[in-house]
Amino acid sequence: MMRRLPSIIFLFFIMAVGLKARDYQIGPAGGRIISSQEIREAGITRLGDLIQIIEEWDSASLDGYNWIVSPSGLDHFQHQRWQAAVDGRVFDINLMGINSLARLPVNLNQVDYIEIISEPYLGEGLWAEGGLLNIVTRKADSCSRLSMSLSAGNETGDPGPYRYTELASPNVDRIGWTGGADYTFGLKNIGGRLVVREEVNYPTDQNLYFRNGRIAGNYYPRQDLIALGGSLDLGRGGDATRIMVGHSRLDDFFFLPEYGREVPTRLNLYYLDIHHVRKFREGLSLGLFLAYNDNGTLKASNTLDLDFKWRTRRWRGGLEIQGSGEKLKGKAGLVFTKDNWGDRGDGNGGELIIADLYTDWKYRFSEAFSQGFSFGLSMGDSDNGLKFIGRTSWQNRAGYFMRLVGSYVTPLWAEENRLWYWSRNGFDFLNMDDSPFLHNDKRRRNTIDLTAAGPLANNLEFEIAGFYRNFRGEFYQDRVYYFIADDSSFGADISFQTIDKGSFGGIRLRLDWRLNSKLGLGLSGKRQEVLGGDSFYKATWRNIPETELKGRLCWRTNDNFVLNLSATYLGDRYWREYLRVEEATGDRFHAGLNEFWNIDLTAQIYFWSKKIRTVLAFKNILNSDIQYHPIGAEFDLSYFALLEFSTTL
Amino acid sequence: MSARIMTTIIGAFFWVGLFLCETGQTKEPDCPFDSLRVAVNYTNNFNRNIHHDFWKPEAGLETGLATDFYSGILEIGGTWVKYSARQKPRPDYQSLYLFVGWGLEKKVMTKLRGNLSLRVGDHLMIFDDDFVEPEGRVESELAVELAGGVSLYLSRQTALEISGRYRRVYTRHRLELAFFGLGISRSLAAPGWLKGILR
Repeated sequence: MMRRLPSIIFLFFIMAVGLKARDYQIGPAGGRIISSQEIREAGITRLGDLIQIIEEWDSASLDGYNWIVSPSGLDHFQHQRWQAAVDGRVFDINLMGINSLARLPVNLNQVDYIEIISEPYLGEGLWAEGGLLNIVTRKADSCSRLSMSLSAGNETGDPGPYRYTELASPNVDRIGWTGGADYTFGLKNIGGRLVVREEVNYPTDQNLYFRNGRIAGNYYPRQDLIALGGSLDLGRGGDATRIMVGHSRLDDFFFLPEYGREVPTRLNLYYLDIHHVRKFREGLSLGLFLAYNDNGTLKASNTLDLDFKWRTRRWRGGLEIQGSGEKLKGKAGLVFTKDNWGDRGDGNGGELIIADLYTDWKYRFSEAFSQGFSFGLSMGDSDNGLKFIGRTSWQNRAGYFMRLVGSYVTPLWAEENRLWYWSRNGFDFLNMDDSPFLHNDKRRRNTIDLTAAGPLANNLEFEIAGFYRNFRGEFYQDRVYYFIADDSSFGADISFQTIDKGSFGGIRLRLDWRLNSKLGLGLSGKRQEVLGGDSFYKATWRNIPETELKGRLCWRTNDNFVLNLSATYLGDRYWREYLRVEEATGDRFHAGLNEFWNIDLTAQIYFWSKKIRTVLAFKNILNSDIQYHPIGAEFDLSYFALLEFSTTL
Repeated sequence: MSARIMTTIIGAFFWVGLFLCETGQTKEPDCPFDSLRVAVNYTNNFNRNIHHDFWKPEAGLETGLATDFYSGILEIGGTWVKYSARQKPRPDYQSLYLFVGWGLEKKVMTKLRGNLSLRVGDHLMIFDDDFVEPEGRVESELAVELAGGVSLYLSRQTALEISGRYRRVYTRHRLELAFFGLGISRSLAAPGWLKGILR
């Protein structure tokens, strides 16, 4: 593949003649914007696949459906502290360290843009130390809109006619389908939305197919999701109220790290959020909110007879006062969070109440220069946590932009280590010794992010960023997986390691180039590596590639027809925890994953005055050996088709 | 033809086509979807490889619809071919290739036009149910086809078509199929309601 690299780069540049610079877009929370146009042109047909177009974030998956993420090194693949929000309201979708974005009750065609924050963020009652993915939906102004969509995909590699010859091979290459509908309306003082979506995903890898089929009782394994949601917006005289409700049910093959394999289970999510803003006068308002989140699993039939019935419930309530003057903007808030978790059956569990007091200020010294800071204090479980973020921004009229963000955090022990609680509260099968970190009082993390962006030439925009993360007193799982030959599955020996200190850093570069109205080119690259820490710390971070390159060439003949070609290079990775599996299975499973190039091609055509959108997307057109996880699927050339109908009523 | 050569041809076609359209070397229709061309072709799978050691191709039929697009030509259609097993109880099967394509068309002489297009679609394989379990009766797989040909215009609307196709079906062991075709096409003005939907 490396031999093809010069020609690919050359072709990118040949086709990029005459590109015009894209405006550098920053969202309301200070993150990078990915517009709905970019999402559509990238050929994304499932909500969970949004993860793959976020250049700043690394991701890995076993099945291509659920993804684990490292947002610019804020976290590695063991923790998942990043948050997912819809219109700024956080959904607690984290379950046993896995955030499955597919569980959100939002349809892709409702998305106006997504905002990506790859630094710690504090605001509006929300603490997102591991980064934030905020999905902002489209509003309907004085009209109502109905959308319906259906998409399906398939992976190549069927036996075809050879199934009736000696060249026969297993036939496990269907991907599944997604169907959704949503209705949005907006009147003078009232607006709302209803959404429904179903997704079915099949394993397209023989190992996953046999392993999951066997534990589930030998039926064709699949993931089946149903998501329902709605919101109501009420506004009068500057006051506004939003009520959001949502539910999703995912019949999943949930990867349980403590077992080292997937376990069939049903993931249930219920969500209610009420947010009211009372505006006293221009520049002064009070926000009140109350949210309930019920997130858990239900037992599904499995040959291990594992009674996997876990449930976490979270109540959050708080208030926030916001004020803004000519040069000074500020807000302060108080949030109470009550977490309740445990086993649905025997009642074992625990409870934790956390109070968060926070404030956020931004002072504009001049038109170009501003300084901001956020400060938060968390109290709970006889412990205190401290959060501080400082932001310095500079932007001139020519469009050059620079920002320095630094953070310092001493986290509450209890708020992020649910697994520890889980083991302490009745799940003895985990066989974990939690004593090493019970008395660890050196927990702290600090980050530094420096970003500069602006025009390089009249038609060329750049962004360069450096990031540094420093961790102290972290706990990591020392996972040693082994192979179980009887059913081709895996087991795990797990202990905990306390990391006294470790650091990670990297640099990112992105170029956006546009010469005319038809062609656009984006190139980005990232280099990151461990800067300090012991050998165990370094080995854990080797799950994440040190080098990543991305390119995107977009050809728009007009608004109705777009061709998009994207290329991704992912460097090699090493999963130390699968070394024993590799030794036991030889060539079948590898702890080390090879580098690969992935090239996708997407065609999008609108019909009927843009009422109908069709997409044909080809993933991995070079049919490279793409694998994100040692026991995960190998993804071959695959294709997706989407048909979407939208109309204003 | 090796996979590498096929990939190179397809890649070259894509890039050259994109470049020609971008630099205005091809006709940019003022009104996309203004006209339709309906074509019917006799088609014959003439190459031989391991697939043909198992099955013998019979005569086939291709039918398609082409129209001016925002750049180049957009086409949809289907090709049907029957394959007879050389040895029983291996089943006979019928292949139906449903495709969408994009291509370029150029006037070569007064009454002669050449065309080249890239097609993608679903290659359906429907097996003879005398020998096959119900769940294995229909298989389908992605296929890419490079299509080229010339049209000799007998009148303003009617043309004689001579064509060649090379199709690659992305089964685990790839199917490589080459076709020769002969047929007739007729150009029509697209009805107003259809243009309204397509634009």
